[in-house]
Amino acid sequence: MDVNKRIFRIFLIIIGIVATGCMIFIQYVSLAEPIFFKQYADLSVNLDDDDYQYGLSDELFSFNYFTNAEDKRVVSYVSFPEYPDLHIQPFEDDWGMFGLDFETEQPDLIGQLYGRYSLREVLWQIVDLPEESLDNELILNEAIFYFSDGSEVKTDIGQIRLSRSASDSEIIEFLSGSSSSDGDSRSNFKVLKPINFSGFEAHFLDQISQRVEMKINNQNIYDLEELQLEEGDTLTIVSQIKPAQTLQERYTRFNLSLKLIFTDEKDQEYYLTWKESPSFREDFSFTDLYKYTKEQEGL
Amino acid sequence: MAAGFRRVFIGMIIAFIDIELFNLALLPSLIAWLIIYSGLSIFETKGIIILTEKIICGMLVLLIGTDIYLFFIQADHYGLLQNVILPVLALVGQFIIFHRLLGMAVAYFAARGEQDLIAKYTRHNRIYLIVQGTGILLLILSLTFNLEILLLLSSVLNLIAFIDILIFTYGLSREDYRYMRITKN
Repeated sequence: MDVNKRIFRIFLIIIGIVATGCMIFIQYVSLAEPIFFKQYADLSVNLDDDDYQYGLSDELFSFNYFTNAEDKRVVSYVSFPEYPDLHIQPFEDDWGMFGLDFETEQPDLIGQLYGRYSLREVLWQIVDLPEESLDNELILNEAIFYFSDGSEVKTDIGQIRLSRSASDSEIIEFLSGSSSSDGDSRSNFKVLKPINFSGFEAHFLDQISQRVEMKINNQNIYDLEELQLEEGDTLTIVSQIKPAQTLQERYTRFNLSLKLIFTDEKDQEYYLTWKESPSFREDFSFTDLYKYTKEQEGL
Repeated sequence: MAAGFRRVFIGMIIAFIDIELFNLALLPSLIAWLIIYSGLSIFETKGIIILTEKIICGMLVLLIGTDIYLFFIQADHYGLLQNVILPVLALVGQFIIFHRLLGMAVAYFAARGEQDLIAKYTRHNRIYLIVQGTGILLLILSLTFNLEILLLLSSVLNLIAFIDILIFTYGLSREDYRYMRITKN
């Protein structure tokens, strides 16, 4: 019996020490408020569609954030201080990140768990936007996220640009496209008349050039100054995601939106808008997310 | 003593059953602990002094307090208490209670000079302490770091410990009959 008493006491002491250590650790790594990943996106709203208010012409857009594992709040509304007239409807469910049906390790918890943190996704759709608002481009840098318990978080979201969708010149015809799960993509176009590639415009070029290698007909787009294309030629645009160098780079989302500029022999300009949303399938881990929070605090 | 252990056995069965109707627990753990508490009261009326009763009182206060807290505070916003602290506290309480109950049973058999039963329940107690204690440690670590493999291991160990409790409380609820039969013969 003495042996049992000794075992009992030893277990109680170890349980006490481990429990105390774990509680201190939990408090130490707990987030005061959810942290939203920055993203840079160029989105177009199709005003020709009567139902434009129910969605963007691009794919359904989303915000990603992480919070404490036991945080059961969900985002119920989002407003943008720079554009109070823009109303969007967020959808947050416990279906996991990026639309995939992840099962959480603990049924009471929401999102994809990484140690003490839970990674979440909030999809959103525009529900109200006065048409005249899009006369100029809307640039969203800040958002206020309202949670189901009444709390709110005002945060820097990077930059989201909303503009009217414009139709492209009919000098190039889309042939085929493919993309892989690691974020690489390829699009093929048929050239309908002799043209000369004379440059491109892109927002967020700093972010894009660090993370994406882009080639037009096997030539690096950043170095390409001129490319002669004849009628019937194939124009191939390839994008490849480069490994991120820092955590800030790694966890920053972006979509590619390039306005390719072509000229014909009469110096008439034509445009082709090429959009691609690389998959956001970064490797997440508790330690990296924790380091990210520390970097955010330092910024 | 058999009647007391029978109630403890029934209480543990109820604690295991988790039926909810419209998010309302039909047999909340509170009822299970009240039944176990009533079983322990029988020991006390029979003159067996047990410290365990005070621990169960503490657990009842904890469970009632938690229910009130969750009802009024709506603490699902940040459920550290609900998801981490309470499951661990409940298991630690269970760990202390059943170790003491087994100790009490051994003392009871020692007073009657039943060496085989002393050896049997001392061995039960040791197995219970090791399995349940390890299960609690793994549970704390799995809830802290949200590690699925640790959660699975701790669930298996806690289930084994629970089955062990059911086996020895059922066995103890039968020991009095056996003793009565032996003394009659």
